[in-house]
Amino acid sequence: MQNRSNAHERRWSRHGWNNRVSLYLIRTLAPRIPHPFISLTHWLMTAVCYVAMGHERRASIANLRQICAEDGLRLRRRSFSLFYNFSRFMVARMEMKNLPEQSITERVVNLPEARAALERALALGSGAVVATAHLGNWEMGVRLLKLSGRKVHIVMMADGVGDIESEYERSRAMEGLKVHWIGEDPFVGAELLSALRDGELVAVQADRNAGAACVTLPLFGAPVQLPLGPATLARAADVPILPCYVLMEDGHHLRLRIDPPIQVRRTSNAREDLYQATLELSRSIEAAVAERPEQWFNFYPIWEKTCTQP
Amino acid sequence: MTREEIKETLREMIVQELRLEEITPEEVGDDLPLTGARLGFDSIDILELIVAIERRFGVRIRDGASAARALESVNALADFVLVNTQEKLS
Repeated sequence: MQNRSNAHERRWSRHGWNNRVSLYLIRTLAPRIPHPFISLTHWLMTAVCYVAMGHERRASIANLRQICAEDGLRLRRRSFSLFYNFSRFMVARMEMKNLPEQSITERVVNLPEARAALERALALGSGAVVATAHLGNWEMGVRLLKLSGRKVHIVMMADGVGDIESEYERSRAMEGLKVHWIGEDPFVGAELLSALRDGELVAVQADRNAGAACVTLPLFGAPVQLPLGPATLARAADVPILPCYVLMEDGHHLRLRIDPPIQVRRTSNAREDLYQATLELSRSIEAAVAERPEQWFNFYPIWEKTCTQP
Repeated sequence: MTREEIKETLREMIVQELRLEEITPEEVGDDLPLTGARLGFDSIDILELIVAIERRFGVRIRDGASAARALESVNALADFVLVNTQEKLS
């Protein structure tokens, strides 16, 4: 059931536009655009990217077809919306580090309920593995986790786009978040285990395999490889997995979706324990994505790969 | 447990816990780097190994730096277990 994955041959983020110049342009130009023209600018940028990025466009259409079982113009519109939402996400991501805490919390339409759900979940264990997906404004979600008053660690997959990664890492460090890169340091798990035992939060994106141990599970009716890391870490530290997503609403507004915590069993059959917890997490991801399929930012064919044997 | 017994237990644990099929406990040399090319453990392997060692010997590996030192090799692990179990007893 548990396998080693093949390395990702092509990451969608490795395209010519994902560079420091693009980030600089977004960061400097976006705030100068008069408010009435923001939507129009997003639309124009989306149209340019949608036409120019053939690989990503075709992959998004294939993914959305699997999720929504749609075709034709309706599917194309949804795919265009995905690109449009990604444009909104990138601008929000760049402006985020300059925003005071109050401006961020004001954007969340269900903050009191979300806060209460977070506190209930954290009462179950010393820390928590907060599992999210590349859905909506997940980057803002990480900042919102700081409202719990606990130290937040982020586990990221090294993308191979070095200058972009260092740019994001600098920005997250400024926000008081500690970033750990998978694949660079084999002892990162020990560091995270220690953090969880100290009551801190570890945020992971559980919808993409990071190139280590994974399991093949059905997602929207077809097999996909999902990482076993979140369940392994939660089981080791005896803390819950808390599925948490930040969905983008109209304008700047955000809505937090916090699903019930997943308790990883600790029986003598560790394989089965990890499988069951990851299966439960996959159902949460599926339900969250089904709510906003055009906010699940995967621009590569998700259902193309399966785990290979070690 | 003597140092030799600890090392033997550790070699067996490494092979069993990480389900290594192409290597026997005897082939895990005392100074073989656990994260080197021969074994090539990744972060999840290391995490599983840490939990197994903590449970088996009742010791606690506190952070990444301690893990890096302790999990250098079977010899380093045995030293870590010996020192920490003695500390607990004293």
